[in-house]
Amino acid sequence: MSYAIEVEQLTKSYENKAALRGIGFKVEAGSCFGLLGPNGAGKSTTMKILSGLLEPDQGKARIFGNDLGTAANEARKQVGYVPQSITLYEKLSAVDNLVFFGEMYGVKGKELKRRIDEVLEQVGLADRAKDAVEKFSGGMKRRVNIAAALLHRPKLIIMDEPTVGIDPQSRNHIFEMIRSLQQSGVTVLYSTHYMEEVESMCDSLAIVDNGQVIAGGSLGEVLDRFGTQAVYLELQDGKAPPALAGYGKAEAKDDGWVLETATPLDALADWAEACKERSLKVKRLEMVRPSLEHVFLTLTGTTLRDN
Amino acid sequence: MNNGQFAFLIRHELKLESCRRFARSWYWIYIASVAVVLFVAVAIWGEAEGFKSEYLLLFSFGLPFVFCMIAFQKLKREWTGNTLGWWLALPYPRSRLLLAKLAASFGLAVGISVLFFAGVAIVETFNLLVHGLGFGDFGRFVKLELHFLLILVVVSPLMQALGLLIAAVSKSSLRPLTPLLWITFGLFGNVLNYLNGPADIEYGEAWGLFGGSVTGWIWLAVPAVWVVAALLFAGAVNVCKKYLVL
Repeated sequence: MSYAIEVEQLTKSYENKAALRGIGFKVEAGSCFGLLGPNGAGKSTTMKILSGLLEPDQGKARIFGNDLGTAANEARKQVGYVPQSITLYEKLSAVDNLVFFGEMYGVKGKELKRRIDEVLEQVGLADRAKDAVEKFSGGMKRRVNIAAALLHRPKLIIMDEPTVGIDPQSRNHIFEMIRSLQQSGVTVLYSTHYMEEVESMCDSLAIVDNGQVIAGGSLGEVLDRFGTQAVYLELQDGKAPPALAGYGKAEAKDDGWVLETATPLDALADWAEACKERSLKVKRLEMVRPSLEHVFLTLTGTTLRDN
Repeated sequence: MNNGQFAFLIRHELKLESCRRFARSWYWIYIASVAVVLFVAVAIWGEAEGFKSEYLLLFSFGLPFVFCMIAFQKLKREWTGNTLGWWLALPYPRSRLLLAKLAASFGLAVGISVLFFAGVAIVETFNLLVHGLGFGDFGRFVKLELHFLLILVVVSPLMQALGLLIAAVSKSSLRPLTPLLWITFGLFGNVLNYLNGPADIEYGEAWGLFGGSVTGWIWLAVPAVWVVAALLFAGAVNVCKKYLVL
């Protein structure tokens, strides 16, 4: 198996405050990998190290086998980095910005023009190519920024919360673009505060807290390993559910009750039986699919949008 | 990085600088106003009244401060303009990225110096013409200017390396050192005074070390100045590599 990213025991401190405490994970080439964590968990620091912005204090990181310590420039050539903040020259048009970024990466002439047309098409801004960036919405600027990161055709694109504060149209464009990038074999490292984005786009993920990976693997593996199985019951007239011997206590959720259990099928059958015996009218009785949001809450003690 | 890309990095630095400067029309209004005042003053209190164009050369003692600020702004621009993300992620070593800024700053410093001395030479020409003094001493004046220019060009890397270091430190975990570096800026900025000091500063025939020939000890000082510049530059590179707080 070939890896786009291999991170081993990375540490980084800022003024004696540890941002990374031996973080480690691997990202398969061609996959979309989600990096999740509360604010200050170390996601951005990890991304900045992988993009070459920061040097780690200790540990190893390799991009397509190129060690960031010994072959940093080779590694950086493979990377397109989309930082959290918009990085564009506001007075210049989208095309002029892209010409500038392309030339900085050594792309020139007709090839540069061809690639600019291509990336503008990819991000859905071909019709606004000659407009000054300062007239763009936040989402459009973000798309130009992504286009700039794609110009030198990186094999790995690192996106640090690319959908924060942007309009739904731009968000959809970004999703479509990520899917199309993946189809063309580009590896995507993605951090976000939106669990549903990870669930819908990422093949695998790592949950980071206090500078360490506390859970990782494919989405299914993480949910299987850390997600809690549960059964949801909603009765007519909002009545309380019958207590089941041998199970924990059901918690109120929405208009019904949730019972967490390692044997959801049995619990479902027992609850159905208990309701039948007591002639309780069941409105909904179903197994609850473990959610990433719940896994995250369980592991970090916080929800992503709270922190 | 090949030479073409390095040249592009430098061109980029110069292009952004010139775009901004020329966009500020009030720059030109100030320059034109100063020029008008100067020519009027020379016409009124010119050579015949004891005014010497050499006095104007003293303004060049402030140029090392300007050179430092040029380099400082070039790096600080990446922090304040939110462009540090892509700039630091460029596939070039930090030393090359900073060297491009240093080289562009040096180019600007030389350009500014040449413009300054050309301007003063024009004033001197005007002075000689208006007051009918003949051009006998003009060659001596230009030679004097060239000595100033030479010294300025020689010391400019020192100030520019310091400017880069101050900008780098201000964005790093070593930020508490910034006040000390600004003090150093004040001390180093007077480099022309120091170089001028030990020489004969008797007014008239000799203007210190620029009185007609650059004395030998100056050439001994030059390598020392460059070594300090190299150390400051290495310091800036190291700070950008290891100590930036992003």
